[in-house]
Amino acid sequence: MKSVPPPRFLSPAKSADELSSNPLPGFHPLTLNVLREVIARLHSCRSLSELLAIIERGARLLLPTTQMAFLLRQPDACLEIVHRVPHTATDKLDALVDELIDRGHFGQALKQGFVWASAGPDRTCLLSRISTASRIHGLVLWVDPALSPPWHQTLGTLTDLIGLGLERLNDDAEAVLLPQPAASAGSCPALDIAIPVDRLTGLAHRTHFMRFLQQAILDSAPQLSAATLLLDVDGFHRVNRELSYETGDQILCELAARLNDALHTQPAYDSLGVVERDICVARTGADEFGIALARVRHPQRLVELAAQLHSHIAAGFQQQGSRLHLSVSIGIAVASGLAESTSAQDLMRNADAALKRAKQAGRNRHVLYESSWEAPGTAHLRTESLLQEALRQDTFNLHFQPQFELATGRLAGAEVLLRLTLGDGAPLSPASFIPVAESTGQIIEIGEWVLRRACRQLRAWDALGLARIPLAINVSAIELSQPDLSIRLQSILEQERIGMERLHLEITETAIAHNEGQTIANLKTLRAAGFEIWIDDFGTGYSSLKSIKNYPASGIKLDREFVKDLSEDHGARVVAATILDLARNMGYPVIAEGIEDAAQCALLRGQGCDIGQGFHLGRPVDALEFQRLYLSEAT
Amino acid sequence: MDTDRLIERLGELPSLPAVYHRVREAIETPDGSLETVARLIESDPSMSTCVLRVANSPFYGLATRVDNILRALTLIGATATHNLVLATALLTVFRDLPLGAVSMRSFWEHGLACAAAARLIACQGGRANPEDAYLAGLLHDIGRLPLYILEPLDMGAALQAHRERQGHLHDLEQQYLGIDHTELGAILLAHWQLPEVFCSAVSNHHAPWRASSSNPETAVVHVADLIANSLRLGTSGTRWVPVLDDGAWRLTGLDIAQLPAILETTITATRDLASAFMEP
Repeated sequence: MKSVPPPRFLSPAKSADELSSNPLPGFHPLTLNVLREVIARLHSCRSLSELLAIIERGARLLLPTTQMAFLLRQPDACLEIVHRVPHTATDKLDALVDELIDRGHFGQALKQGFVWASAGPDRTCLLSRISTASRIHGLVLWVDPALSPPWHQTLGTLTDLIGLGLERLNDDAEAVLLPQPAASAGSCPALDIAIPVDRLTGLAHRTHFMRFLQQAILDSAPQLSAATLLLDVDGFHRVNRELSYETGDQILCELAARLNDALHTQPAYDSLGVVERDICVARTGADEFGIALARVRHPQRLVELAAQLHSHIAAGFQQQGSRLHLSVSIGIAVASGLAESTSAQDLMRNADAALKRAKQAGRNRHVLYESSWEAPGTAHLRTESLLQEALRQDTFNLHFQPQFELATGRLAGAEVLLRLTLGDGAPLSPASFIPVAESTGQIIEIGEWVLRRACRQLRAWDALGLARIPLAINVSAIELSQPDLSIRLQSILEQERIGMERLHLEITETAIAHNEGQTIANLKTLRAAGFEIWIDDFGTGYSSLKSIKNYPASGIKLDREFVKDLSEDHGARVVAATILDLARNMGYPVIAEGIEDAAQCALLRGQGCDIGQGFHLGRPVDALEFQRLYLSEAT
Repeated sequence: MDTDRLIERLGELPSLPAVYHRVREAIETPDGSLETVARLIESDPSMSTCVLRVANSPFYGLATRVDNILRALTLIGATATHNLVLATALLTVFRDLPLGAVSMRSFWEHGLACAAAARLIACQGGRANPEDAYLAGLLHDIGRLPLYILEPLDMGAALQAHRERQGHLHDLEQQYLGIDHTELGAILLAHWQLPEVFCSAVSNHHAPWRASSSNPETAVVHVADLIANSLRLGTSGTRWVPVLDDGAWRLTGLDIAQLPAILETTITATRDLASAFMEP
């Protein structure tokens, strides 16, 4: 068979025969295969000994008789021999190292990158520097009779690969903390794996995090899972708003350091069955941190890990001599085994869903994602971000519906109603966004916003010398189950300089039932502080005549349900009359809601109902309109 | 930085609970009895719960579960009792304080790891008193607490510089605050009137050559601190492993071959101690 002669300009060899019989000295035919093999295995090695074993195997394929010594720089900057090949040559290699140091070859190699030296009769040795763009890690000493100058390229490449491997083995967090030096002369920018860093906290950046997580998913196997934890600081924007952005930044840094330290401990590694480089901690959002975990052997222990993380934050943060308590909510998601085509985005979405549940369940806790939750809707998500935006951009506004004393027709107060108008001017009904806000926990922020806004409105009207009416605002079940509700409300009113008696809190019986112990306790403190408490939607929700006597209420609101059919339906009249009787006997004043015509109004007045509210008496209007319609005439 | 003022302000730290002082008095009285000590501990329910939990942790290796304070104290002995009560008191008093970038939990995990390692080294090396080594290990970085609590800004800056790899944290403390945690720690211990052996171990654990060779506890703590840091069992702020002092290593009486087992046991003992002391 005739061989095709290779083109002259590509190869100095005349024919294929000639090529194999007379190889280039120092350039073994297998060189590229060996290097490719080493490169391919580099990212999967998880310890120094694995890394050195890969290099050793490669070198032995090319130079079977070679002897090697690996020297690494220790934290005190001294070089130390960490591994010798073969083991039997240990003494000889150590003696050679000492000799080369004495002859000044080490210094030369560190400076130039490599240096040739003789190692006795017919033995040559090469010292090559292990370095990357960011630092010098050490040296490799190669000893072999067959060594000749062209080998410098091949062995130099292997040495560079050790440098890259070491960089990868180094703790991610530490690697990223290295200030990235401007690429110095002689360094090879293509080999410099720059990990994007979050400038504030020094943690990895979201882009690196997502890449890490994707790789972790690809690396997962039946016994080795990829997992992620998302941590969100509860109510962090308040820190920024009420203290300052500098304070907020500082706390984020401290939090990042604590998380990083808590994760990088031997017990944490052991408990999850991971090694240092299987963990990536990143700042994934403004006040959100992500932990990506690869090759987790015990994913069932992630919940314990989350509990540990809480305990590192529980003591709070020191802030200008006082203590600031912050809590985090944690969502956990695991991609176990060979999950079909999971992507990093999917896993993050799951962790995010778990995080939402943790927030919803009252914050400061962790929740593990379960696949059974699947998809109650994107509509919810959209509403949620709308609300977030509305809070940020202040696009909520308040409407006021007047309440009148039925006997005299005098203005008794107003109920505050929340309105949200979308960018296109279309109103979003509270019935659709309040449940979402309750489920995400945003209701707490919204509630505070309403309270502040109502206070400012009162102050504005007071300043104009208008009638000093009280305003009624709705308080949700979620807010009522917050242990610090009363303190928060009082401090807001104090800041806004509004007396507690000017605000009436409307709560539903269903809300009380939601978390009865905490709610009743809250209501009692609120009552004691001077707030009026009105039971809303009375008679429609969870009603228990036994417990009503225990409510620390100031009065009740008769639900529109009973008002609606008042003029036609005898039954409705009986129920309304009974409730009014009951209330009177217990000493509660009554407000009737939803009065839509004069007949209803007259009937209720006849039954002795104290106050009325409804379209017949006055629709909800904005503050200016309210002032024009109801307040000006009262003065 | 006015270090004298910092030292004066040590009084602002929480003080040790009265029950500790009474226990110590009872132990030090020549005719004092463990019965008295047991009664004192029992008078403080949270102290007694913690003492029993720690005494029953695998660390003390009692043969059976003990539910009675006096019996527990008899089994572990008077010195260990004092150390246990002091440890419990410290961890309770300095438990729920905010420390900035280092969490109190990490801080005490590091202390407990060093304590566990120091006790193991003392037992196996046979030179130092294991109970003293344990307490010295627990206390070795105690000087960082006043730095974090009283000078949060300067200490935060030192910590930041350390994280930017500008040097060992104890050198940076000297630079930013004019005093380091070893010196301040020894002053704090003297302020609490703890015996000299602890002050010396705390003040010299980064420079064991300064300690007299009749004080092997210092050498033991030096090595134990290295172990706790290299295993990253908690942290008191530093991210670097200190440099081993050869003299200290020889003074511990350990053989290299014993080290792997000590590391292994330190990890499990730290976990046991941390859960006994710190779980709610």
